[in-house]
Amino acid sequence: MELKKILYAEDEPDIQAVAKLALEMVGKFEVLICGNGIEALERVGDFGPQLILLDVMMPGMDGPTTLARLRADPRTAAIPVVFLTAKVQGAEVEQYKALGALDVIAKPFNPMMLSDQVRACWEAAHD
Amino acid sequence: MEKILTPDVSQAGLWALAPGELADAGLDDLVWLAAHVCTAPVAYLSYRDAGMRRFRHVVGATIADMPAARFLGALEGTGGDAFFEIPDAQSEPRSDSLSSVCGVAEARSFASVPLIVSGHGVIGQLCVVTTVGRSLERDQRLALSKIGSQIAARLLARWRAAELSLVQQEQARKAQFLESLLANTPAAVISTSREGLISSFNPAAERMLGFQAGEVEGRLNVNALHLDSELVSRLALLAWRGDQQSCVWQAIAGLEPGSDPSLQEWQLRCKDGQALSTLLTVAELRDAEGGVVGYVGTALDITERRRLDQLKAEFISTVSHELRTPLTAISGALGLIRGGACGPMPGPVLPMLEIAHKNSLRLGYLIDDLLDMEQLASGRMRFDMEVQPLLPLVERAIEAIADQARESGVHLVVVARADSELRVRVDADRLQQVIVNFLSNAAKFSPRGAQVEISIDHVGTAARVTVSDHGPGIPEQFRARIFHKFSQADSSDTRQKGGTGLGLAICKELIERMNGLIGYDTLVGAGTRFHFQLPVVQASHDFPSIVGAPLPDAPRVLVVEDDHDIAQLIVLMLNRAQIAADVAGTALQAIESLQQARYAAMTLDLLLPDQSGLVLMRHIRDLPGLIDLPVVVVSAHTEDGRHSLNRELAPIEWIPKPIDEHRLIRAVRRALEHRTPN
Repeated sequence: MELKKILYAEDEPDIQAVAKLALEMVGKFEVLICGNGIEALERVGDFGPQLILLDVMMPGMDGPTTLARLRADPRTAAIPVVFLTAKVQGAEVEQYKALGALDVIAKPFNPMMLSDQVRACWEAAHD
Repeated sequence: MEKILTPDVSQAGLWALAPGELADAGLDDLVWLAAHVCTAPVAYLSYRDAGMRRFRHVVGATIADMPAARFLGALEGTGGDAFFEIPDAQSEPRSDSLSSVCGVAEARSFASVPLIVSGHGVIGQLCVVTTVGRSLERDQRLALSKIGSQIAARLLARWRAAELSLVQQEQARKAQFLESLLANTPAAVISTSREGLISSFNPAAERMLGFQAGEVEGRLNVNALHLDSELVSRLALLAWRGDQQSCVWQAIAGLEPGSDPSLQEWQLRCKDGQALSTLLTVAELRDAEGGVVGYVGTALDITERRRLDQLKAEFISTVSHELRTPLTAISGALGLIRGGACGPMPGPVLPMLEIAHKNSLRLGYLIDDLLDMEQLASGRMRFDMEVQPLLPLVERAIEAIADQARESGVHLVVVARADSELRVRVDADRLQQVIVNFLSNAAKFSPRGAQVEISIDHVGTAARVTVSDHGPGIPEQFRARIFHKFSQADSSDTRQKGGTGLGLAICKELIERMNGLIGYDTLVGAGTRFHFQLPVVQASHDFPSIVGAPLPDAPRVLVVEDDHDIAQLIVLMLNRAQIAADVAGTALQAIESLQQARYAAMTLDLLLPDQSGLVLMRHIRDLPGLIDLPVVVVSAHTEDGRHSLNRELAPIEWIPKPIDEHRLIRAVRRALEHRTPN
C-alpha cells in the first residue's frame, strides 16, 4: 500500500503552510492540517489518514496526549504517528518512541526532504 | 601540631614567671636561708633584663630595679658566672659606691653565686650583702652555692610547669576551635578509617543525611552512603575494585585533582533512603609518619544549585524551542522556493535566496551548538556508551560530510592503518558529531582541490583518529584558545567560514566525556592535523576487574552481558542477595563457561557483540544438560524477543533495563526455584 493521506497537527500557521506545501508539492500527498490535538481527534475519522504527523507542544491538547487518545480508540489505534518537533534530545526521542510514536523528525526540517523522510517512516512501519 | 604560642624560653622568660609577678614563698625561704647561713642582713636574687638590673625575693631591704650599668660597674664584669666577692668595700678603690649601687645603706661586703640553668647558662645571681667588712667562710660559700643551685632548679621546674600548662591550654583551645569549626561549618565533614568505617560525623552531616553521629560512628561503612548505580557507572573512572570490601573513598581520594568535574558531584544516601546531590571531596588522613590512617570527606549540599541549573536548562531549552519555531518557518519557506516548489525565480533573486537560506541554516547550527554546550556544561547530556567498531563510525561521518566536501572541492581520503575490527566504547552519535566537525573544519579551511586525509591508527592501548588538511595552519597567537568557546582564528572567519565558534569546544568536551583525549598539530602554511584518542576495547571481552564475591555454597549464576558496567552492576546485586556470579561478555564465552561449570541459572542481554542473545538461547537449548537452564533476559529490548521465545522455550523471566534490583533478584530467585526440583 502506498502512503497518500497525511494528517498534520501543528499550531503555527506559518509552519502549517510550509509543511502543507512541502508535502503536497514535493511528496504529492493529500494533507489535512489541524491546529491542535483536539481538532485532529475530531477530524481523523472523516479524513482517514494513513499517517499522522504531530507537533509536540500545542495549545489545547499537546502531541503526546493526542497520541495517547489515538491509541486508546480502536478505530485510530493502528495509525502510525510521527512527531515533528524542535525538541529532539536523544532521551526525548526515546521517550516519544516509548509512548508509541513511530519516529521523530526534527525541526527545522528540510522542506524538500520532508516527504522522503515521512515516506521512509511509513515504509519502515510496513516492512 | 604547630605551636601558636610558645612560652618564652629566654632568660627573662624564666624570670618573668617567677618573682614579683608571682609570689613564691619557697624562693623567699631559700633566699632567707642564704642570708642566715652567711649571717648577712640582706640577700636577694638579681638578674639582668633589657638593660636593667632587676632584684627579686629581697630579704632585709627594699631595693628598686636600676640600670644595669650602675650595678657594681666593672666589678660585675666577670659575667657573674662564678663565685664573686667584695670582702670589704672600704679597701676596694672603685667600690666606694657599693652602698648606692646595691641599694643597701652602709653596705661593706658583697658576695654572689651564679644561678645556672642547664640549657640556658647563667640566668642571674644569688647575692648577700653585709654592713661589716669580711670574707665568707668556706662552709658559707659552699652553702651559698648549694642554695643557688636549688633556686636555679626551682626556677627551671616552675618554668617547665608553666610551659606545660601553656601548651595544654593551647591544645585545649585548638581542640575547641576545631570542634567549633566542625560544628558550625555548613559542610558535612565525615572521617573514616582506612577500611571506610565512619569515625566522625559532624552536625552538618547529621542535618544533611539524617543520621545521628552515634548511629554511624564505628558502625557504618562509608560505602553505604553511596548509591550502587552511581558507583558502578563510574567504576572505570575511579579505578575501584567495586566491591563492598574496599573503601570507595580510597578511590575518590586517589583521583587526580581536576580530573573530571563530574567526579566531584556525588549522590549520598540519606537515612530515609533519599539521594542527596552533593559536591564531595575526599582527602587522605595521615599519621605523623605519613602513613594513611583513614579518609576525610567534605560534602556540600548542592540541591539548590542543581535546581537552578535545572531552571537554566529549562530556560535555554524553551528559548531554543521558541527560536526554532520561526526558524522552521523561515528555512522551510526558503527551502521550498529554492527547491522550485513555487515555480522559477527571476535571476537576481537567486543569490539573495542563497544568502537567506545559508544564514537560516547557520542560525539552526548555532541553536544546536548552544543546546549541546549547555547540556555538556550542566552534565545533563546523555551518553549511550556502547562497545562498537570504530571504522564504521568514521565511514558514516564521511558520508554525512560528503556534500559539503564536494561543494568545497575537497577530496576525502581514508587511511586506515589499524585493524578494521578496532573497537571503542563510545556514544556513536556523539563520536560522529566530533568526526564530522573535524572533517567540516578541514574542508572549510582547505583550498579547492586539496586533499583531506582521515586516518585510524592503533597506538599502544589507544585508537587514534586524525584528520589532516592542507590549509593555512593555525596562527601562533590563536593556538591557546583553539578549544575555547566562540573562538575562530580571525573574528571574520566566523562569518566567512560559516561556523558557530563552538564546534571544537564541544568536540573537546564530548571526547573527554567519552574518556578520550583531543589534540592537534599545526604548521602555518602547511596544514593542520586534529586528532583524538580513545581507549581500545579488547575484542576478547575479558572482564578482569569483575570478580564476584566467592560465596562457595551459594547457587551460581552466569551473567551474559557485554557492557562492562552493567555486568558489574548485576554481579553486585546478585552477590548482595547471596548469589554467586560469573560474567561472560560474548555468546561464545557464555557457551564455553556453561560447558566448563555448572550454573543454576543465566542472565542474558539480547544484544551481544558476536551473536543475538535469542540465537544464543536456542543454541544453548541444544547443548547437553542445558535444555532447562533457567534464563532471565535482562535487556532494553525485551519486547523484541518475548513473543518469539516464550512460546517455544521455558523457563524464561524478562527484566527490562534500567535494572530494578528487586525485580532482578525476584526473577533470579524464581528461576532458581524452577531449577531446584530437577
